[in-house]
Amino acid sequence: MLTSIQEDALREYMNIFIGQAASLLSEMVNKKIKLTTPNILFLSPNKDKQEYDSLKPSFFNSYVVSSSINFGKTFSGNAQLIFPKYSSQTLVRLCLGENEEIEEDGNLTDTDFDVIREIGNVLLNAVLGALGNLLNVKLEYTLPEVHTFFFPDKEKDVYKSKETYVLIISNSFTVDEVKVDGVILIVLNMESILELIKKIDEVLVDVYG
Amino acid sequence: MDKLFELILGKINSGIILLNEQLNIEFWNSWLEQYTGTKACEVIGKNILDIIPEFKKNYYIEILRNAMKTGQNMFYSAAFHPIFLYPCNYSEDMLIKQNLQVEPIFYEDKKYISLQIIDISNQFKRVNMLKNQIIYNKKAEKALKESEEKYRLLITQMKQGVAVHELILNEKNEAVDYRFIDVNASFERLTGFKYKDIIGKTILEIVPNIDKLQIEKFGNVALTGVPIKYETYDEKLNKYFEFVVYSPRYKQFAVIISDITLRKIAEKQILHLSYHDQLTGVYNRRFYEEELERIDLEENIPLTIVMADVNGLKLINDSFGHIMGDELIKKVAEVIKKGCRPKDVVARLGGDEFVILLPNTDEDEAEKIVKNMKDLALREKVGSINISISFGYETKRNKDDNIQGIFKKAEDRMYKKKLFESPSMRGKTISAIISTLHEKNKREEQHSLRVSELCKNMGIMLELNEHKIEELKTVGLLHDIGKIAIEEYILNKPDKLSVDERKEIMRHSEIGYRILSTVNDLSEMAEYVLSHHERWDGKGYPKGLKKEEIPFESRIISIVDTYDAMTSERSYRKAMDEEFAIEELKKNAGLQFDPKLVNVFIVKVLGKEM
Repeated sequence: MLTSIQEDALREYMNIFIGQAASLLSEMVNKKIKLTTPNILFLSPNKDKQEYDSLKPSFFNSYVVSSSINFGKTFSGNAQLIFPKYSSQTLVRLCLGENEEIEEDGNLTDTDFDVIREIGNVLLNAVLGALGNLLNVKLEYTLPEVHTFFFPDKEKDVYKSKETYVLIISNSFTVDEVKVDGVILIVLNMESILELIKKIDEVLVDVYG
Repeated sequence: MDKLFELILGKINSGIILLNEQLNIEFWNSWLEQYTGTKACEVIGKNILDIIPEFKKNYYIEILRNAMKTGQNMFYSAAFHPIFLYPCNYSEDMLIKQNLQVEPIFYEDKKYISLQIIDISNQFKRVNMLKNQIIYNKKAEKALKESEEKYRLLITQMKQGVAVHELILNEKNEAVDYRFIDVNASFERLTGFKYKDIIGKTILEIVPNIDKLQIEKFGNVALTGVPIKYETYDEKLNKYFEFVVYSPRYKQFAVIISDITLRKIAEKQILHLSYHDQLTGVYNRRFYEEELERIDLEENIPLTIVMADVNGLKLINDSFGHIMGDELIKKVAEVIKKGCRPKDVVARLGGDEFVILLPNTDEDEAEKIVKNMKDLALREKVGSINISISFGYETKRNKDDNIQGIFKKAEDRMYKKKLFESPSMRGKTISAIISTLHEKNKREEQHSLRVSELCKNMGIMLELNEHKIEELKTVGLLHDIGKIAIEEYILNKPDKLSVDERKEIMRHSEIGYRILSTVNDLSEMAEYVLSHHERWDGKGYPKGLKKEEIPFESRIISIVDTYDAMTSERSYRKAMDEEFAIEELKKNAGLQFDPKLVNVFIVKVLGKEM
């Protein structure tokens, strides 16, 4: 749905906010956290099913841990930071500086969930803050809730209607030279999307004339 | 309604603080009152930053201002952030963990911040404990695995065979069979059984005709826990094995099999060495003493003890060397063994003495055996030397006779014979020595004969008695007998001798002395031979005797020996003529030679003028 120029513009824009989130996270864990967003995907899972199926992250077919926020009013939707279950444990260990040789069985403890909740909070706030800024809208959103589930089971619920569009921002955390990949999934309705695209174009006009 | 909501907020199991835009406290719930021990009335209206501990102020200022500015909800997990508020009973050793939720609230154009403090200390402790337990378990598991691996490696690679078995009992709790649980590679190698063929099977399935006693024996170990150790010999494999059986667990037993064949062979060799004489292979004194006790029984009577002594061993050792001496002893042992019967015990007591135990043998029989041995000895020679053995024997006829007494009598008889037999043997040996020397060196023979003749003439001219003249003749013949022990190449060397070679040659006077000393009749002559290279002036060898200290006879030999040496052909020079030799004698009279005797020799023996 977005042209490549629009996609680039959106990505560049996100990167600023995500970069700030990375600094905040680094301060929090007292370690250098490198955060990159290799690519952005913007499509309708129902309308562009084939494209969606081929481009979606591989761990969308397995167990995931999700930290999610609902945002609402004029520009509404749902934002989730999703990690594959096995690597969420790795990320938590790295952030907490736990070096013990515990087998990573993907089982998270209560405190692990809190850590993911906070990381999700920081990152999602950054992304939604960016969107809010772009749209010149004050977004109101909840504190993140953390859940773990088998993604294919919930996939249909995530993409509620046929009109749903998703913004899939893939991100890569690097802590202590270990890379953990996740995605930020922002589900938007048609109205919000059109608004978004309009705003992106405005930015482009500003930049490129 | 406010009161209702206040009551509801009071039921919430976490701390709730409401701050206004100035960060002053507008609400402080009852959970906080209980947690911090601070009543709401004490804090309402105060700035939150005054409540927070000083050192945390800046940290939380940032958080609260951010919330106000951005309006963003934030969750702060206890994992990353310090405590927000201290409980009233706080001490430094307490682990306090709090999650904090910061949520801006917009109401009636006013901004508020809601802080929710959730105490997760217990949760944290529980999780930590679980994590520590998991870590501990993992470490223990790893250690166990490593230990198991280490022992498995040890068992697999050890040279001894190891087999572990489970006992099978009948209704009466008796061992009737046992099953193989595990075996190592060495077990397979030692027994020929393969792991895959025996594991899980019982011994009766593998070896149906196994001795039931073995099952009982092993069963005993498995049931009592008392280990056993024993050795066996396998005829088929021609090997010795040591079995150690112990019980690692009730109703289980492990067998450790070691191949001890090499050890057994070594043991046998040591045993053999400890009872046999290394040189001859016959029994040694140690065995003899034990055997004497064993054989001293009524059933062996009449029991004869024979003592045998080798004649002239010392003489042969001195003249021909110990290798020859050893050969003699070996030959004697052979002769004795050949002359005895299989049931007879032959032992070497040491040096040149042998003892023979003849069970169920009387004097007549013993005499025959001794004669047989003597005949055999006559036929043997060592080099050019005959073998001469003196035998003495005594028979125990009554069971009450003391065996040591019998031995003593045999020994006495032997010595008497020896006294009788040795001299002739020695005389023969001396002749044999002379012959050997002369065989080695023809020149020596001629020289000795000439010196002997000249000595005799000196004796005649000095008007000595018959006996003395005979003696001088003999000593002239024997004066260089010591040269038998000198290396041929030195005796025959055409060039001049080196310092060491000269020293070697000089030994011949002492050697000659030693040889002749062994013969009683020749002991005086031994003295003369010893000193035949002394000098009148004391500068001779071996003792450096002077003038009349030197035996008269030695002074004669000295002159004669030198004269003959000068006037005969040598390997390194031609013969000198008589005049020259005489001049030399004259020159050295009073130095090397007795001047009076030089006079006698030149004038009377050679018939020349002084």
